Amino acid sequence: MKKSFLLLIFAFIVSISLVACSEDSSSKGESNSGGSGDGEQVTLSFFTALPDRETGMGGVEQQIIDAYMEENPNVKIEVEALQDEPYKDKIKIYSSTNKLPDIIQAWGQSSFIAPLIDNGLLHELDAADFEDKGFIEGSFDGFSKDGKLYGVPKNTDFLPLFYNKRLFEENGLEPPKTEKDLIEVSKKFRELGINPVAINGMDGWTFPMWFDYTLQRETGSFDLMDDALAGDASYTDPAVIDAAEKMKKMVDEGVFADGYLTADYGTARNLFGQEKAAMYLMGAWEMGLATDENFPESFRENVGVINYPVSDKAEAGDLVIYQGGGYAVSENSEHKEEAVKFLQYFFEPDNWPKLVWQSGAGMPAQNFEDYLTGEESQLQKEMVDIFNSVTSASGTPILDDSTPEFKETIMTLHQELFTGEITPKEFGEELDAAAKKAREASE
Amino acid sequence: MEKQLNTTPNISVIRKKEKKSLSLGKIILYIFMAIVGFLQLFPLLWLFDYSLLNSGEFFGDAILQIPSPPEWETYISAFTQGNVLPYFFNSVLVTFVSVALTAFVSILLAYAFTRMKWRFSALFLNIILLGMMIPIHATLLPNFIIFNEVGMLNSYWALILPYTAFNIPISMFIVTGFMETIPRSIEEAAVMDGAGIWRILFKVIFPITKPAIATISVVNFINCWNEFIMAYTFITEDTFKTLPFSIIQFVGQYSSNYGAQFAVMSLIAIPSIIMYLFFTDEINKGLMAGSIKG
Repeated sequence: MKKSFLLLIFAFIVSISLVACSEDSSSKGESNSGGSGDGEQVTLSFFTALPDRETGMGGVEQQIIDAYMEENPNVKIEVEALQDEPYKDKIKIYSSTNKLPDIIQAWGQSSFIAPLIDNGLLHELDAADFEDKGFIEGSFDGFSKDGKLYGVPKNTDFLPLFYNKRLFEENGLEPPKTEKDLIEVSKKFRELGINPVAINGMDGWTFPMWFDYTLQRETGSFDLMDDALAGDASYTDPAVIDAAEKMKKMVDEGVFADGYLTADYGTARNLFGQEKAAMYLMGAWEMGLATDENFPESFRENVGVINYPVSDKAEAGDLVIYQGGGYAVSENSEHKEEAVKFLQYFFEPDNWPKLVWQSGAGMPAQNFEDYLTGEESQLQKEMVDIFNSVTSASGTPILDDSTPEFKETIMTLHQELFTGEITPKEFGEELDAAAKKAREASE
Repeated sequence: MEKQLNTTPNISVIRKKEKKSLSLGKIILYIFMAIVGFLQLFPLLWLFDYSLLNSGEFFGDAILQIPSPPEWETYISAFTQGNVLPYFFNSVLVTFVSVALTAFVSILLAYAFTRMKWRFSALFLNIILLGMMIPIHATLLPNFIIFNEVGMLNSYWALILPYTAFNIPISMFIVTGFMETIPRSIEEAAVMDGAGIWRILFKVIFPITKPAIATISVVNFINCWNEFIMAYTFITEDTFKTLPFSIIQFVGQYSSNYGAQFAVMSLIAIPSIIMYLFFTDEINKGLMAGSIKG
């Protein structure tokens, strides 16, 4: 009896103190969010998909935020960070309650940004505010709709082929220049018991981007992919079927590493880093591989990067290149001006572009030639060469160019093509059906 | 006399034989149990082993890798970058209040449903049990809107209330099942002694139901301790974040600090293990008590 009553009393005390706690914090919040103005306290909420705040891009982001708060003592920036998937879930919840944080991470691709723009949740930005920041031409495209700008890009992403120079040299092999070379080299590595190309097949998103390459190598242009999505062409086009057959052939010839369909990002990356795979198809953001101390020295010294192999119809400089991540300001924010001011500061040439390049965390969407220190890793230098070789650009990869549902479908279709569940012909047909459905949905 | 003399050595011979064969059986049994025990402990061993690796060593060919040298720094970053301590406190608070509240409400409800006679009691019991079928995802948005309106986002209640609500149906299910086995004569005796309803509940019913309470408490503890979806939806402020947030502090956009994540997971696992150690006896009792009902 006594014991249980004590328990009860304890529970009540705890609950009362909890109420007190939560009231405290809410009253604090109210006093902070009072209107802005000169010198008055402003709290900006900043929602990002980079949870690691100490290393990589998240670290650079936090570094700039901290510097800004120091220079502007009246501004407080509260960071909320979640990984990609939870981030996207929570954005949906925020937007259905009209309670988006002041500054959010946005991806310059319809599958993410279009619903937000259509529902009037994003603040229209003035391109002139960012004119002098040296943004690469066309980098605002993904963040604009009907000529209005809704976001600012932070990265330039493209898809090169990483390779392990030691493995190639020791076995007397040349890095592949053409698609045929790629298959030949892969066969040789297979014979030697080395995995050819590591790739994160379980995540699914690298395949459609790879397919952008194969189709471009087939037709000589990136347009067919986009035209078919828009309904001006069809995915049942013979070129698409041929490209699908080409990819299927690569699978059958063993170009992809063992277990590639069940490998996630970390697995594929570590397979390459542990020198168990000779090549690795991944975005330019992986140039930190050369300095990643988690991997053996012989790997770090020998990692190199080349353009994706070509065919006789394409040039090496035809790149799958796009501006993915960036930031947007919420329309319902009480401090839109302050938020824009912060973004201007963020993209100052001395801040984001310089810091992110020099830390090796990524390639900015702004000109960074002035910040080449000459102390870059060999890998970074090779990356710049590829970047400068660009002759034509894919723009936003096809999987991100439509509805979220289309994205799911195209990723699954690739996996089904590779496991032989569907033929290249069915692949084209189902892709066409999905594109049609996506067009109807967005009308 | 003779008979007795004869029989005793006989018996002792038999006993010896029995002992021998028993010990052989026991050896096999012990070996078997050792294997089962190892298999049970293996995930923990694996967890701890991986917490000492550096990120580049993950996903190799071997299942267990010998860390060379062991990266104890992963534990240091768990505490510094991962904020394990403050989040641990929040987790403990939220979990224990939720578990206690669930147990308390479940006892009251179960008693009302199994011992009291009232209209629609079966209907309401079924409604509560239906709660087991509601997926968490379906409640996130409505709860977010309600909490937002009431100003309860970013508070301990934003976690305690939904955790309790989600744990009540299954807990009710277990506790009502258990209470039905308690003979009514015990209560009758208590009434004869002049006990009121609260007294019956806490002095008579509660001690008997203890094993069931222990069972649901352990289950609910694990549920609340590991919960993350609701936590990331309702909590943005650092002050109220729970332990699973520590893990994501080590997730980069593409590559992550796996070693530190495993270190945090090892730390998170410890309280769950302690809970099990404390309550296994009660749970066993609960199972046994159920078997000799009547």
